[in-house]
Amino acid sequence: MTIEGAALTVQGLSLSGLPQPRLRDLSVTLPRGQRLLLAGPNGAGKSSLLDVLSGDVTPSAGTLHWGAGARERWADRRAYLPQRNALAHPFSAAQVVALAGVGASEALDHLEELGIKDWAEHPYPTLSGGLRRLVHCARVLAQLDRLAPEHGWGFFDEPLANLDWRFAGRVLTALGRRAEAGYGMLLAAHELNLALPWAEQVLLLKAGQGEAFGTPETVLTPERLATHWGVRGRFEAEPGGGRLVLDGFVGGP
Amino acid sequence: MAQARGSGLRALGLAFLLAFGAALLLGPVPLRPWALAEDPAAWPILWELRLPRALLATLVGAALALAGALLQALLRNPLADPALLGVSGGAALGAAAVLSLGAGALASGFAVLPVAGAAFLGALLAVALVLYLGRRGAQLDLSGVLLAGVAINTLCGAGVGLLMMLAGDGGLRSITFWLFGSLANAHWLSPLPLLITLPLVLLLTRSWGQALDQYQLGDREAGHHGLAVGRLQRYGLLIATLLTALAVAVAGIIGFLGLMVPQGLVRAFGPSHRHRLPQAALAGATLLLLADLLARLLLAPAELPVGMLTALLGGPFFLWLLRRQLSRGLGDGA
Repeated sequence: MTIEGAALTVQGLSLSGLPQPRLRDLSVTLPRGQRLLLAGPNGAGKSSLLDVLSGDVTPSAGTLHWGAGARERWADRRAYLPQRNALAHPFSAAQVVALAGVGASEALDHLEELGIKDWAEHPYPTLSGGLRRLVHCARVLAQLDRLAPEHGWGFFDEPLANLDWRFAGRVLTALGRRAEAGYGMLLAAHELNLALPWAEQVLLLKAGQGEAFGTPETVLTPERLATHWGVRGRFEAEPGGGRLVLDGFVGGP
Repeated sequence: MAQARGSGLRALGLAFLLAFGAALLLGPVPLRPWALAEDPAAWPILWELRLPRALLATLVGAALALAGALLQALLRNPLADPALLGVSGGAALGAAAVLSLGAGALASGFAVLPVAGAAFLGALLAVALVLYLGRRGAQLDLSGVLLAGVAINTLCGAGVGLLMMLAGDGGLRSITFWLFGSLANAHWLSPLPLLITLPLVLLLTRSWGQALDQYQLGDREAGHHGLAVGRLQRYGLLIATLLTALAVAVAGIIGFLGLMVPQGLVRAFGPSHRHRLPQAALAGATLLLLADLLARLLLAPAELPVGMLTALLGGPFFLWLLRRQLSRGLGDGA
């Protein structure tokens, strides 16, 4: 489902960096209300793109168009889960979620959605890495839910890293639910076996450039899997998802 | 959850009132409230000695604890203390400079105002230097800030020592008084600067709780929630500097109060900053009233400088906290 006129349009985006530019002349129109996957090998520019889309970093060239009726404040436009979290204060998990400006019961709902309600009262610094990540994911979802679906974007940078399959499934379901509600949803992930069946569209980055944007089977061709990721494999589309079939590494086992 | 434990302001307020009452009545000459009317010697003790002193202890304790709570939140470090950041050292140097110029006995009337002004300028300069030196690019590097604070404090200490050598007898005595904070010279003018500032600060910061909580996420993620991180940092550090400087100006250096009080509050009321600043003000006032009472009673009729007493209590507390944090850090890695 695409809502007309509310897409996020990126034009000629460049971001300088060392030793090479992080983004080079990237142009793409990201539709709202779809499950969008941002894919690419390490160092392709995924986090840089999310930083620019989130307003953390000012691009050296290019423009962003947020569509009609876009909000003035960045905090009203998007919720962003960056790749790393800096929190060390001994809040409980529920208190961390409440930092999004929601009440205690709403915070519990968000923890429950991700399946970690049992940890609500535990001090955040004592939780395992994966659980801490889920707590932040719940916080960002809480912030996103406070935005209007026709204006809000959710950017998630590797929320699946360090999660077991059950929790990864919970996160993907939660993100998919927001896309269905009309939010713009862009997820960066390396877990292609989990994320490709979830994705409706894939934006593939390579060396800071937008290489392809389309459905998983058109973007993740066996050739690209081999050249970008060094694996032999293919994506088989099926009704209601599909699956990534891997036969091993190129020139290896 | 922390909310269930309440703000604790009522209990802290009650403890404060009890401590204030005790500070008025107890001392080398104990006063009995019911005998005040009949005892003509009691009124001057109460009115000219105990009351201004208790008021000063209240305001200085509240200011130092509030400044400590703000600094710990803003530096995201439970070991931050006004004394460790060069604020106190800078204030002492500023005050010592004015005193050595012959402002003479601290106790005399309006001398407190230029001295307080100089202490504030000194503190501001020191903290600006510490923050400038403790930067990594555009962001504060927290361990860098603490190390720069230690260095600036040492330099200020050397400066104070130099001024002491150059000062005459009167100046020397008042500077020495500075280095061991004391409330012994309290008179009705000394609480004045803080009496004006502290209520304004409490009013200005009354809705900072949520912001200080969000700030703990780190500059970047706090900003994602719409928090104006830089502004909070600037105003917060300015307020903490102002309060510390004014406290040092009228009472000298009283260390570790700003460290201990917020730590105790975290243990008692949980990690949220929602009511932290008024909590800190009440608890700091209570603690300094009691510490000053102890300083007056322990060796009565002689008395200890209260700054020495808080250092005696605070030093071991700081080390205990440090060990606890370090062993916890190891536990995290394992």
